[in-house]
Amino acid sequence: MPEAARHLPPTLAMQFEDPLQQHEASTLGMWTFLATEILFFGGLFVSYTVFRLAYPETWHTGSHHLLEWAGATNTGVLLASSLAVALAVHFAEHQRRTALLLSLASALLLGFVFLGIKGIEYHSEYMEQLVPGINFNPAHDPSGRLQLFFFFYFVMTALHALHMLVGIGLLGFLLYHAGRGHFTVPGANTNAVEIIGLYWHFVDCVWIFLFPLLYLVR
Amino acid sequence: MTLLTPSSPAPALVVPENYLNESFSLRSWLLTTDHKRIAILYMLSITFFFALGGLAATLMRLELLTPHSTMVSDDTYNKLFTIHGVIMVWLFLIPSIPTTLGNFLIPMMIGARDLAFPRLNLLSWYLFMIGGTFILVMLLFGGVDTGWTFYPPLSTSRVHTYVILTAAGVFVTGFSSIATGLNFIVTVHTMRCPGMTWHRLPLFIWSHYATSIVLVMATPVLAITLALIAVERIFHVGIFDPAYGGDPILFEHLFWFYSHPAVYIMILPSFAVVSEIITCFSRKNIFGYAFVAYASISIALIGFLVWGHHMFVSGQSTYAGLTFSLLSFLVAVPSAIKVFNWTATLYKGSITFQTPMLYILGFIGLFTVGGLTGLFLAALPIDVHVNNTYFIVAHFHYIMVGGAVMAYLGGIHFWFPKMFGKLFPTWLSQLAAITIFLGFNLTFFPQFVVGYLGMPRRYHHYAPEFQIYNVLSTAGASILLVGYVLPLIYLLWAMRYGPAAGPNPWRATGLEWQTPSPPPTHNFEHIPIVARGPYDYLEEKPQNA
Amino acid sequence: MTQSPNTWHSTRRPSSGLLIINFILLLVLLVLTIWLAHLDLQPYNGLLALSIAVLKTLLVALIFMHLGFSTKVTWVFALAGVVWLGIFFALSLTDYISRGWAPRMDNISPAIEFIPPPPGIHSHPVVDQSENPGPPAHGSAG
Repeated sequence: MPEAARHLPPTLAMQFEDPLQQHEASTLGMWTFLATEILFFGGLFVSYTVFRLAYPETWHTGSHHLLEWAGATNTGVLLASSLAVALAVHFAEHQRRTALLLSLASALLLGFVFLGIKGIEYHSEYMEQLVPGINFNPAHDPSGRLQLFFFFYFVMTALHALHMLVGIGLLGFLLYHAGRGHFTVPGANTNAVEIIGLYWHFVDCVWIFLFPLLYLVR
Repeated sequence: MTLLTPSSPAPALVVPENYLNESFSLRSWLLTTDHKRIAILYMLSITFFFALGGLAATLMRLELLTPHSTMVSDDTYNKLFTIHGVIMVWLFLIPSIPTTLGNFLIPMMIGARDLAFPRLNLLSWYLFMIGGTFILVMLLFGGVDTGWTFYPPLSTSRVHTYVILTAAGVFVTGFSSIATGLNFIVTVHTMRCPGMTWHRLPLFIWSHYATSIVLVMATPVLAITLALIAVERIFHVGIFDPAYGGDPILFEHLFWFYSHPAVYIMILPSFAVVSEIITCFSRKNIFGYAFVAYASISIALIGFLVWGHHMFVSGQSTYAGLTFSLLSFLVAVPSAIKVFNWTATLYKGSITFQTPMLYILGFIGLFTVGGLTGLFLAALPIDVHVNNTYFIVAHFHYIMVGGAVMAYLGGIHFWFPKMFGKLFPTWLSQLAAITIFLGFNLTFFPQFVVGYLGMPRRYHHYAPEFQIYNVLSTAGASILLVGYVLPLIYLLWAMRYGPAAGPNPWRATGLEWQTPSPPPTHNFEHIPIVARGPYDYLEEKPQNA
Repeated sequence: MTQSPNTWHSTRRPSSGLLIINFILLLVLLVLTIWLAHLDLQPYNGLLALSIAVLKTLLVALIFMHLGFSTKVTWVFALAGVVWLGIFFALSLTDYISRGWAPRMDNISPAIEFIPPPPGIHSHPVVDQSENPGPPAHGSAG
C-alpha cells in the first residue's frame, strides 16, 4: 500500500466487499443525512411561512431593513464556491492534485468571504437596534410584530452560518489530505471529496431559498 | 477457563474466539466498532435508564394511592411525571429494540460483517450517553416539570426549572437516533449478501427499515423544535406566545410532527421481533409475507400524516381536526393487517409456549387493546371527552408497555442464547412472563375505567371515588416490578452459569442462527449466499418437533 | 481490483465545461431574481422568486450534486426530504388557513372570518381564537 494512503482509512473498509459498494454506501449515507437537514431547516421554513402569511406587511417592512446588496453578493459567492467544490470533485477523480488544491482553497476562501459579509450585516443590524432579545428598539414597529421577522432572520441565517462553518472545517480537512496527495495517488478513495461536496452544495441550496425569502419580500 | 458447576454439562475445554472474549480490556469495549459490542453497550445503558424511569413511576404510583397529596408536593409530582416521560420515551423506548437487537442482528441477518458505518455506530452510542448525562445532571440540579411535551408558553416563560438542559439532552440523543437510522437504511440497501433479495429479507429487517425511515425523517424536526424552545426561553421574542402575536399551536404542530411518528419508532421494532418469534414457535412460514412487509412501510409513511390527533382540543381548527381524524383511522389499517397475518401464522402451526412466545402472545393481545383504544381516540367526540384523562395514559401504556416492552423482553429472551452462548432457566422465565402480563393488566386496565370516569392525567389530587382504581393500579405496578426484576436476575445468572446454548437452540431459520453462539467478531467466515426465503419451517417433519 | 478508482462509481460525471456553464446559468437566474423583485408584479412576486429558487436548486442538485447522473435509488433518497417537508407544510397549513391566519382568500371557505391579530403588545395574554371557529355574526360552520 502506498505510504501516503496509510494515513487515510484503508481504501476498502473491512465491512465492504468492493469499492463500488463502499461508494454507493457513502453516497446514500450522505443523501440520507441531507434529507434530515432538509427537515431540520424545514421546521424553521414552516414556522416562517405561518408568520409571513399572518403578517405580510411586517415581513415587507422587515425585508426592507436588510442589506440587499449583501444578500445578493453572498448568493453569488456561494454559487461560485459550489462551482469550486464541484470542480474539486472533478479534479480529484481525474487525479489532478494541483487543480484539486486550488479549487478546494478557492471554495474555502469564498466560504470565509460569505461569513465576512454576514458579519458586516449582523454588525449593521446590531447598530440599528434590530436584534430581538438583545437590543431591539420598539420604535421600529409599534405593533410589535417586527421582532418576529427579525427572530426568523437571525435564527435562520445563524443556523445557516453554523452549517457554513462546519462546511469550512470539512473543506479544511479535505485540503489537508489533498495536500498530502491522498486523493490523487493511484488507488485513492475520493469518496470523501464527493460527499463533503454534496454537503456544501446543500448548504448553498438552503441559502438559495433564504435569500428571496428574507431579502426580497415585496 | 470455564467454571465447572454441577448444573452445567461438561463444557468444551477450549471456548472458541468470539466477539465477547476476543479482548477483555475496557479500551476494547469503549473504542469498539463491532456492532455486537455496541449493542451490548446500549443494552447496559438503556437498562439503567429503564430503572431510573421506573423509579419515577414507582414514586408516582405510591403517591396516587391516596386522593390527597401525601408524599410529594405539586411541583415535585409535576417533575416526577415529566422525568418519567422524558426518560422512558427518549432514553429507553426509542433506542430499545433498534440499538440492542437491531444493532446486533441486522448485519447478521443480511449476511454482512458489520453495518455500513461502524464508527458512526459507536458515535451514536456516545451521543446517547452524552444526552443521557445531560438528563442526569438536570435531575441532580432539580429536574424539569413541564411534562415531556414541553408546551409553551409554560415551558418558555412560566417555569424556573431546567428546561434548556433537558432540551439539550434530548437534542443530542436525537442525533444518536438519526445516526442509527441512517446506518440501518444504508446497510439494508447496500450490504445484503448475494441472493438476499428484498423479498428474502427477514421481516425483522423490513420493520427496522421502516423504523429507520421514521427515525431519519422525524427526529430532525424535534431537534429544531427543541432549539426554538431554548432560544425562546432565553430571548422571549414570542413566537409561541399569543400576547406577542405568536402561536402556541405552532409549537404543537412542530412537536407532534415528530412525536407522533416517534410512537411508530417505538412500536415498529416490536413488530420486527414478533414476526421472527411467532414463525419460530409456530414452526410455520409467516402468513402473507408481502402484506406484513409493506404494512410496516405503510405505517411508517401514514404515521407522518396523523399528528394533529394530539391537538384536537388544543385550538387547531375543526377542519384540520377532521382531516387528522380521518387519516388516523387510516393508519390503524396496516397495524390490523399485521395482527391478522400473525394470527393466521399461528393457525395450524405447531405451537409451543417457550418464554419468547409467551411474551409475543401477550403482545398481540395487549397491542390490539391499545390499538383499538387508539381508534376510539381518533374519533373527535370521544377524544374531546377523554383527552387529558387516564384513558389516554392507559391507551399508550398498553401499546408501549404491554406492546413494546413485552416485545423487547421477548426478543431479549429469544436471542439471548445467540448473544451470550448460554441458556436461561425455562420455568422461571415463563413465570416471569406471566407475572409481567398479569401485573401489567392490573396496573393499566383500571386506568381505562378511571379515565373514562373523568380522572385527569398529571394530577395527584383526585376525586375520592377514583381511589379504588388507583389502589388496584398501584397493586398491579408492584407485581409488574417483581416481573421486571426477575429477568434481570436470572439472565445475569445465566450469562455466567447457564448451560451452553449451541448455535441454534430454538431451531430457528435465519442467517444469525447459522453462526456459533456467541458469534465471532466478523460474523461469518465466508459471506453466505442465500437461495431460500426467510421462514423455511415447512420443510420440517412433525416428528422432529 | 485492477479498475482505475475513477471508474469505481458506475455512473457518468459532468465535465468541467458543463459545471462552468451551470454556474453561469445560476448567476443569470440570480440577476433575474433580483431584477424581478424590483418590479411590482403583485401578487406574484413571492411565487416568482420561489420558482426561480426552485429552478436554481434543481440546477445545483442535478449537475453540481450529480443527481442527473445518478441511480434511481439516489433520486428517491434526494426527493424524500422534500416530500416529507411537503407533508409538513400541507397539513400544517390546513390548520392555519382554516383558522384565519392567512389573509382572506376568496376561494377559501368564507364561513371563517379573518380575525386580525390585536395591535400593540398586551400586558395580559390575548385569547382571540377558540376551539370552534364559527364566527357569531355569520352562524357556525364548524
